[in-house]
Amino acid sequence: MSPDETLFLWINGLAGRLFPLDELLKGIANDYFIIVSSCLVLLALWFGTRDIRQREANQKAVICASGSLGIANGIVKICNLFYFRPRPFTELPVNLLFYQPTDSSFPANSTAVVFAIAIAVFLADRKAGSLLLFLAFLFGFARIYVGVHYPSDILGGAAIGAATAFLIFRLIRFLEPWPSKFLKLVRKFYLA
Amino acid sequence: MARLALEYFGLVFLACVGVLQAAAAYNGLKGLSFFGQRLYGYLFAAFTVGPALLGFFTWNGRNPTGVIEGKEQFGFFMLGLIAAVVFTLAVSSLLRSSLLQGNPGHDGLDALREVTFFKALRCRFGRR
Repeated sequence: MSPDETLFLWINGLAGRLFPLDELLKGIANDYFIIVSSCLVLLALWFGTRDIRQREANQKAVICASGSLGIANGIVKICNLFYFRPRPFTELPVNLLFYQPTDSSFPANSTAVVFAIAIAVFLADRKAGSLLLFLAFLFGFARIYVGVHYPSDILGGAAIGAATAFLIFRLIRFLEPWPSKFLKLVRKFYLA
Repeated sequence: MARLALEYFGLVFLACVGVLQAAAAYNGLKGLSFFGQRLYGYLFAAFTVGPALLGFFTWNGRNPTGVIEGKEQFGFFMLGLIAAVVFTLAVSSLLRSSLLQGNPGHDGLDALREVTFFKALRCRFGRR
């Protein structure tokens, strides 16, 4: 048995022992809660930053996060064209607390998305970024706990999300002054 | 599928309206807020964002076989977000039109500390 499978079985072995913990992690692991929460943080950063310099940095981070999540999602889809890894519940005795997804287990698509958002924000705003990174790690752990991903799937998804966010962050810096000009235009309509 | 999509859209809309009110209260954007006092803005946010997030948290329990695919999720999220922004701008402009007067002294969101969105647009684009 590979170390990946051993670690998966250890984490997933914790499931089913404590009902409240199972319910909590089922809620966290679903396809909507953490992803939508992360996007709501982006909305709050766009409209809710008081300091004008920090607001501009945060708004660029929101643009970076939006681009990163789309591109990370695209990269995962391309990976899935060439490589299909069955879900753990098809190969191992699993405590499955979730419905049975049919797409490839590696890399974890939803994890790539939440890490792309978290890293993009972390590069501009450490406080909000740390919160999002915490949510992203929790999400990754929960997806293993409920039995739908191996740890390496989560690592792969996180690496794709983080790398994409770094690249888009660099690209936005490289493209200056166009992102600033875009924000200036949006500011003329009182929306930035 | 249509019911799930509508539920997803509704929850996103509710959560976004709440977040916008919390942001307006925190940032002092009176022209974007539905209320005269910050406290009401925060309370409104708590009573909208809280249930919406609870709705997402309990999604799989309520819809054991219902899944919205990634592309559709993105589409409905954007639709909900845009609807929430338009709704907030329209409602705050209507509710606060008599309370906030004058010309905006700032550009961008900072203008909404003094006037409503519609008033700011009118000032910028001519019809005063």
